[in-house]
Amino acid sequence: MKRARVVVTGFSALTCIGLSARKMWQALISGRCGASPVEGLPFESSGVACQIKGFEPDGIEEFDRASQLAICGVRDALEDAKLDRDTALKVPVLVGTTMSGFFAGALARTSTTAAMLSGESAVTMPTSDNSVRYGYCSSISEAVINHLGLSGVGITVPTACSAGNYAIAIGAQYIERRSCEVVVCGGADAFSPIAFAGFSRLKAMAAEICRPFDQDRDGLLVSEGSAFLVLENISSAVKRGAHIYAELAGYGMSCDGYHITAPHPKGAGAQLAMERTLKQAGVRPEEVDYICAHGTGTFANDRMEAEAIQTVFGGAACTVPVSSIKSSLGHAMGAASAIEAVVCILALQHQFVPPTLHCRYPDPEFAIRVVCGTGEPAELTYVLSNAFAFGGNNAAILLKRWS
Amino acid sequence: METLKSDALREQVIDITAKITSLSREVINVDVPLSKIGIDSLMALSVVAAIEKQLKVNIPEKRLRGIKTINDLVAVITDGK
Repeated sequence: MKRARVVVTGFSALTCIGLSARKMWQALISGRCGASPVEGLPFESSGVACQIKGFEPDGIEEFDRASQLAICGVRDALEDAKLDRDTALKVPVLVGTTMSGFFAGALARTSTTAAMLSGESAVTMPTSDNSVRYGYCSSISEAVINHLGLSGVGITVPTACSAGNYAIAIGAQYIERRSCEVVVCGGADAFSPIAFAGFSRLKAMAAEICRPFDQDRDGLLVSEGSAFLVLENISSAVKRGAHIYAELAGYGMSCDGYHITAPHPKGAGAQLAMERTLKQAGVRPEEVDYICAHGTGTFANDRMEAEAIQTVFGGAACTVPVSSIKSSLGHAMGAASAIEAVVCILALQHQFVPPTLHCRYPDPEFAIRVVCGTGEPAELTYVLSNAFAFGGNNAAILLKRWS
Repeated sequence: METLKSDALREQVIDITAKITSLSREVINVDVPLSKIGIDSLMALSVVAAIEKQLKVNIPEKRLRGIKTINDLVAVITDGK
């Protein structure tokens, strides 16, 4: 039996430049930047980060911030899809994340952690406080299932900065194999002091501004957020008269395992992920109308990504528009590619390529066409979204306009 | 008799369309534009090619532009017979 086709019938986004997908899009195309002096660190820093202001949801204070972002994101996406109650309650949930609640949330604040970090040899883990609740990676999907009262599968996908795309790809497989008609998948991460400190030490963090693909780029900005897609079997969506936003035409995953933090210099795994995506969709590189880049703004990523695009796209690399929205809203880790998937859907809907904010002088070494300035209108049918992560975890997805 | 024949033909066209487009039969509404059920112009060409081959009919190229729905397609096939 052929694979079932997968469409998007709902989505959500919570970001530092907008607490809904549509507000985020408006901010993106009007050139807003979410960077501001970092807050809430347990140490002094003059650095900059992209933190969400004014996200204090009622009734879920007991959960860590990453789980709160995931809960609200899944809820918003399910509401957008207008599923009937029975289907919604059984929907499998896949949450991509880098940090989950483990470091970002309660654990980092508890006295237990302080004791653990201070090197005390005998620490008793109290069972009543949140250090146990958030003490393991899958707590984030569990929090969603628990709070929304769902009865389906809850899976945490911990493939770091590509986790959003991985969750979307794995979610799509559930539908393709006809295990279920609907899944909700995406990613969530809260601002993490550990990520902030870690990227600083790696000298991969921008001093003030994130300038992906610019010759003067000096790194990424740590961000937070969540985004989720409701993926559905095309037949189920058409039958129930759902609003269909786009079709998931293909996806491709790879793991080159090159290095714990550095990407493969030639982007071998990145190439594979893009090639597998196009092959699965049966789409030629020259048919792709926009590439939503991983584009973190680090020296290594952008060089590797440009090279990988050049290799996969050949002559078409010079003409297909490429942009990175991380210039506007930073790098939301496990949520990043899920947010970018939502941006791709909105780009298809509005027939508009969002800009790479702050990119003034695209690196002349790159033979790709980076869209800077204020973005540009374009005829978009197929859009590709890249995500590459620590450890060589790569995943790309291809979305197709629904006419 | 003619109606019966045309009903049978429509069913065959729906079967082939479902197979080529990975859509379930029940969502292939014969009166709605193909694009509304996720069949783009390229996919429609694949459907036409499969129909020509399996039903041993010829669908003239100049008629393709006018085919918006499955019923349009069935009408073109009937005309050609």
